[in-house]
Amino acid sequence: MDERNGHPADELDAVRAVFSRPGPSPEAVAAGRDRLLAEAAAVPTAPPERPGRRPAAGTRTREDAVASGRWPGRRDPAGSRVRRWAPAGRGLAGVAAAAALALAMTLPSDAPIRLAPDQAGTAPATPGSDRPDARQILLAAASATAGEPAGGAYWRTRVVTGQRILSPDRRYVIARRSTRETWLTRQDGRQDRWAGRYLGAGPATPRDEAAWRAAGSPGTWRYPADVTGLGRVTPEALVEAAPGEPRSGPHRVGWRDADGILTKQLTGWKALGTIPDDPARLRAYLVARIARENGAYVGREMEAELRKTCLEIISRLPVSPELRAAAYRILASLPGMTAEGQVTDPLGRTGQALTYQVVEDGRLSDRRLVIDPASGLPLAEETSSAATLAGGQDTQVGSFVAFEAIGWTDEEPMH
Amino acid sequence: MAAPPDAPVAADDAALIERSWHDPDSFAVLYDRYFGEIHRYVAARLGTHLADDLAAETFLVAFRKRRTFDPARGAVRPWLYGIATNLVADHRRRETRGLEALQRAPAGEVTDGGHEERVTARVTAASVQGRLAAAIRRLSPGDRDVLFLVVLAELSYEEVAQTLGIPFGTVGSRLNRVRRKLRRGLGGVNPMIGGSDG
Repeated sequence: MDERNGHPADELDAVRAVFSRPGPSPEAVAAGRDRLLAEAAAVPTAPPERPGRRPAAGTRTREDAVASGRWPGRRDPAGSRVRRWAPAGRGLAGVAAAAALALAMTLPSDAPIRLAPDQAGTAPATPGSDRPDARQILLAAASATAGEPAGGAYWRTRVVTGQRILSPDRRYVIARRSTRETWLTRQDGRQDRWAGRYLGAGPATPRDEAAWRAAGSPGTWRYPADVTGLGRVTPEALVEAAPGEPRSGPHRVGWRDADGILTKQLTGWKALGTIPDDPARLRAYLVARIARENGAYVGREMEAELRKTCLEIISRLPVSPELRAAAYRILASLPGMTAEGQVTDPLGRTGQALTYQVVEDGRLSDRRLVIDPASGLPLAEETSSAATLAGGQDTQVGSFVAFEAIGWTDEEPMH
Repeated sequence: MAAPPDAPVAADDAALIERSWHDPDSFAVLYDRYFGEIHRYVAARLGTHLADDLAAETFLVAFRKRRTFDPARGAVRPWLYGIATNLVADHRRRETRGLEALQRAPAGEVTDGGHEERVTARVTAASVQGRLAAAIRRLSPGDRDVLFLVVLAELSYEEVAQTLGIPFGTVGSRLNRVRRKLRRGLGGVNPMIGGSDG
């Protein structure tokens, strides 16, 4: 079909133009799915003793076994996974802790949702080694999130974002962080606002700190035009070690009527209100929407798109607790997520980790979602990918978004 | 919602079918992956309204036949298109009537009993649409299958061969023949000229 590329205005293009249809409606997707599931339910049930379903205490589940062998191309020694997801480092830990403290102090007692570090440990402990699988964790989160309060003057989200990037000379890893808070309102007379602060950058680990000192303890780093393999950093960026001043202002991303991004499109308050909050209807709605946006071929990208969209609903969009619970239930039904047990997130909070992989720019990237089973709220989303230092040592670069507050509030922004 | 059980890895299509032997609900993952494009393909041939039913029917048939799927003979996607194409064949007369209607209708005003259809503004000349529909109506069913599988489903020749159970080389020769006939049917009219956005 190469010749088609050379002749865009040919008879096959005309056929495509005349016969293309926009894709199924959510109702058609839901109706067909219901028919299939009814058919599936009529099939005699599977043997009750399904392997991995209820593992005896102390045994490895099937999931463990598959998980341990599922990371293609990874040659890291055992235990490296723990290191890959280690907190961003000593130098910054102080900065972050101070920032977290400051934020906690400015947080009034009736804050909608507290996700403060001191909540660590309140998550229900997993008894023994019979740890829950990804599906159980997500279903528990669905139940927990359904009980949240809904409604308030503002939808407020406060996040800490961070990146682990290689220094321009590739001799050590730099960790940097920022914080950002957004206040979205649908009430007249109130204004969408944002506030944020650059929290600074520094060597990520003691070993990185030694390499940084050996390089003369630079306070700024100028990046080249080609940042391939360095991690998530803008070409020609100037990265500064010192924290910036607090900044704030009206929130303008053109989303007075567009309060989030759902399956690539800006979504407004009105549209958010029409999203079905029943899991089956929501799934059909999202499948139809993704199919329309992606044209002829979606294929196995569908689960990745569904997962991404459900995470958007759960962690970013001002929607009802029921809708977020429905999104968790869809996540629970998707293949590809593995429970990693209890971990510490980049802000030092304890939660349950779920890992999965995504294809990004043609390369596999590891993702980790940390959720607090007690509240059903996401604590952090992390990405990680392999990188190589100048000396040839393997290391990891990546980024994270840690959620400090997600929810409705009647407070006013103080900036 | 019936959720498939814990699934640690993104199972590929064929593995999903095998899993659905003992875990029927996991077939729904295939539904989500392919319902949209199967619907689009059927809708191009029979209209949106009938596509709602036949695309769903495609997955019911596939589910019932899931134990007969043989990965050695091709991938899941062409297998699904093969089932959909068989279902389309049961509605040959409906397809012909639709093409006749398209032949007569002014461009951009074609409806098929479903919701509003968008016919791209690039092909506005009614004569192009009508001539195209007439030429497609005159194609043999097998040629028409190849045309729609290549153009609307965007299948490769290899996948079309698997879908229709015909040799690889036949796909190319059928498509060449189809293109000749369509060009002749268009009578030298450049199909993309004369549109409102030029």
